[in-house]
Amino acid sequence: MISLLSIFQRRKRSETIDREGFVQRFHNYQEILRANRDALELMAELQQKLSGVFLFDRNYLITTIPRLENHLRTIIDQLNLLSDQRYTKLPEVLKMVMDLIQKELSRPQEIPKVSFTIPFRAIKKNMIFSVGGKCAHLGEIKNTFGFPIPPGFVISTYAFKTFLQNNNLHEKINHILTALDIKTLAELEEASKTIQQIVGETPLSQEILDSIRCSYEELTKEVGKPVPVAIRSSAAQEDTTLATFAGQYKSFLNVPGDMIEKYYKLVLASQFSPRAIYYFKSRGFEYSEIPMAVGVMAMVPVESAGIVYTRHPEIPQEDSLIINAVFGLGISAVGGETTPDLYRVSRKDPKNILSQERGKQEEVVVSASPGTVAHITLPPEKKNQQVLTASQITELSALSLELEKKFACPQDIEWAIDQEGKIFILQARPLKLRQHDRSTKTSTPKMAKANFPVLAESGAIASTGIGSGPVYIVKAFEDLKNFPPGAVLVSHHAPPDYTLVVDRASAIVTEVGSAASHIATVAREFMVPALFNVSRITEIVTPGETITVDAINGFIYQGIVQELLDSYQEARPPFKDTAIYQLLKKITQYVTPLNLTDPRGQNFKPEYCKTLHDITRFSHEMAMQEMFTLGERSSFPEGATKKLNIPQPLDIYLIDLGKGLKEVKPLSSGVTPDDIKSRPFLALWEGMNQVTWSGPRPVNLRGFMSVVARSASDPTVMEKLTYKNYVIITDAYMNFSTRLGYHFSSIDAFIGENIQDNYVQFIFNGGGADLTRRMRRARLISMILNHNGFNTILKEDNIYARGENLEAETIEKMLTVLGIVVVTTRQMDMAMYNDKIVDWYFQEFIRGNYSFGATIQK
Amino acid sequence: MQQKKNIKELVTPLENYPHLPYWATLKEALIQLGSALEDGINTVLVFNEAYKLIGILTPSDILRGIEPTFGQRFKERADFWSDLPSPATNERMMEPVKRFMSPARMAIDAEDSLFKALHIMVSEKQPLLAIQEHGKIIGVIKLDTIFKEIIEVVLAQ
Repeated sequence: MISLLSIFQRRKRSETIDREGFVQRFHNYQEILRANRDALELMAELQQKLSGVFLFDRNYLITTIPRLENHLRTIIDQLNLLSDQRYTKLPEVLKMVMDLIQKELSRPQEIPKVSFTIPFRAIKKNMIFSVGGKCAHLGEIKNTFGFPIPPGFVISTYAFKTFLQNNNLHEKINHILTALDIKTLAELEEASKTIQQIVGETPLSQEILDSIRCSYEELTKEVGKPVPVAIRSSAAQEDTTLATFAGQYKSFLNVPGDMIEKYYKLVLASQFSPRAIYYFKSRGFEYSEIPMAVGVMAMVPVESAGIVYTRHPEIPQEDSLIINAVFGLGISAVGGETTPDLYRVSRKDPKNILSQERGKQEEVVVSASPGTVAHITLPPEKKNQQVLTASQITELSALSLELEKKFACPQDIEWAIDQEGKIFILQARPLKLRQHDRSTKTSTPKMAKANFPVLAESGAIASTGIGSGPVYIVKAFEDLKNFPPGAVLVSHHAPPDYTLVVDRASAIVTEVGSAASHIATVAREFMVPALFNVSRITEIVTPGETITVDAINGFIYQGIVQELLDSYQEARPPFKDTAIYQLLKKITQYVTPLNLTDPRGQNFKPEYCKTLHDITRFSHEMAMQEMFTLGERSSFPEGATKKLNIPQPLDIYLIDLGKGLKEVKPLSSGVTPDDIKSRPFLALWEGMNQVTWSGPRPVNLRGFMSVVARSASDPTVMEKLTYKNYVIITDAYMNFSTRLGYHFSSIDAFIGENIQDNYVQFIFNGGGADLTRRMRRARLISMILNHNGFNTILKEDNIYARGENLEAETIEKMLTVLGIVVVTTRQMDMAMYNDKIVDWYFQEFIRGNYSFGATIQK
Repeated sequence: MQQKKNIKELVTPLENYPHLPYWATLKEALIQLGSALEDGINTVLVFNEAYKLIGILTPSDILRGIEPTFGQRFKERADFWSDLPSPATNERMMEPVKRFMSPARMAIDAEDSLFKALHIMVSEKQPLLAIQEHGKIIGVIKLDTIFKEIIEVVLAQ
């Protein structure tokens, strides 16, 4: 809704507009509507991608954002043409928002300049971009919390970056990857092979080699002798999904000190295995967005090794931790070739070993020739032994639980115990506990239908989800004031004003509407389920009764269907952990949230626009207001207008902007309603024509000004007295300003092909009677209009009413009602003796009796 | 007789009365009067499209509209209440009040004397009279109001 004051101020603007000017502005208005629709559609698309169910890549973002920007530019430019440059602040606002978006889009991956190698003891938590997630985590385990890890160092991402810059390696790789179609397996394998070959052939720079050698010497000193090392990837990305990525890259065990460089390059090359390429390309990463660090760790002379989960991954509530243990290297435990020993230990008391299951280990994995391991038969005396003693189990458990405590989340830990019985942590990462799957099509509707009455079976899903709550029917904006949190908003339609309560609603159901409307956009933003086009729902439900809205399958049930609510969990699909998704999330915060929800609010100004959606909302509202007052500010020469020939004693002059008439008529001839094609006008006329005209021709009051001045307190009434009744039409549009008696009323309506463009606006004020009577008449009109689906603002003897975002037929019905009202209530202010009379007339209207007064035979 | 008050002091504002345009129906007049009676008002003012007072509707006027035979020769009717309204009455209810109103007397001026106002109302049998000042109607004066004043003055002696 708008400020009545601003509409009246607009009307008072002095410049008049001629026919040319009107046609041009109408064109501007059409352009605004079109660009607004397009922009809202793109925003809806972006929100859809936010659901995480649809994959997309960087290219999508890079092409979609500029398209959106273009639409906004169109809206703003056209609005300024329409309004004679009233909104010069808007381009600045748009630029500000776009700058913020661009910043996110083009944020470069930072690889800090550090040493080529960094020992573990020097790693701090904030070095993740240098040493990768895995090693940063290990560094923290060692340095911050003091847990034992094998001695080692990390070859940094800076080394990686430097390596790429050698011999233009980066360009060569990029060239191959950009051209690659990952869906073709043969191409994928070919590309992988080529890249890995190139990587192998590119030498490391001397500085990097020296660095590695130096660090290895330090390692040797720390251990006491030269030992082979384990070389593992450690990719630099903040997300937890990178654990999955890391699984794509190779690790090498038992690497002798002088072969570190060779295996380092092999690890780097594994980034380009067919599987790895497919994984990161399909998720929209550029490979350079995942810079690789590589950890080099001394091989522990392993007696036993395995995994600890500090919670049961399948039954987290069991309150136990799980240990897998094998003799020899722990790969066999992870690889699934052996059945390891399984110990369950109480989390509350690590001494309390809940169960010990002996595994079945036939072979043990040991170090073999450089870079490899071997499977040899387990010595017989070990076959009958439990891998870990009770005290080892307790010690390991206690250590693991402490680790969990330090990181404040369940851990997945790889450990090894050396031949002297010392425990080492080889790796630790957050443990993924089992989550509920979210099935988008469940069989639950069948079950639900059996036990819960189905109130509706069809509807357009505007925002997915399932919600439940008490019904709260909204008929007019005022009803929103008492909207209870958690209720289901049920209404015939939901104009943009209703967005005020979206974040308090558990679901939204309307009888009409579109998924690209403002309210749908906001519902998706707040993840409130919304179902539109549920016919007659306002009649079907009872206020206060609890219903469940299934905006996934499109049902509405009576009562609370708990199974449905439970089955719908906000489980994060894996895509949400990807960098590209995170980027979209960062960008959409500047695109879709709507801050300017109330056109009457203080913040409904350009400077308060924080998102692109705010800008479109503001512009659309302003455009509508501009169009509304256009008719009144226009003046058309006599020749440009045609008199409407009608039986009623009413002077109406018609201006056809184009396609408003069935055929072109010579200016000299009059026009009858049968000649008119304008859909809104015809609907209005149907109403006006229905009413028996009672009383005389509305008077031109020059002669009776003195009488008028007594009763009319508004001095501007006088200057408008000689105003003509104009109607400006096209086939889809109508702007009708009229004075019947002493009041002023104006009707502006558009009925097109897109529901979100359809609207009708109405303004009415004045009258010949005293203020109290005029106010009563205004109240009567607003009651009638509210009853017929309008949103109204009433202030003293002024009314503003609007219906928008509705189907063509609905707008037509509303226009017909306007036609009846405008004719019938003219001079009815006279009869408004008291409020009981107002109610009497209202009841007559509802009954369909609106021909008051008798036809006067002159 | 000494004039205690002049016309202007005894003016009743037009707004206190129900108003109707002359083309309003008799039924509407009944609705208006029905409501006004609760406020102790028993006259409806009738205006034209220029909001000029052109007539008044007294209860008698309205009664005659409902049933033209009222006030004429009396004849007992047992079916009076059950026949109300008759089909003829229903037709008349949809007629414009212009047909039933008593045309408003030309207004007297605010400077005129109460005595003149009294004379006109008694001789013309009108319960009220429009008062004009500088060409504008400023209200009406009721016969009852003047009568009250007279009582006060007379009884004060």
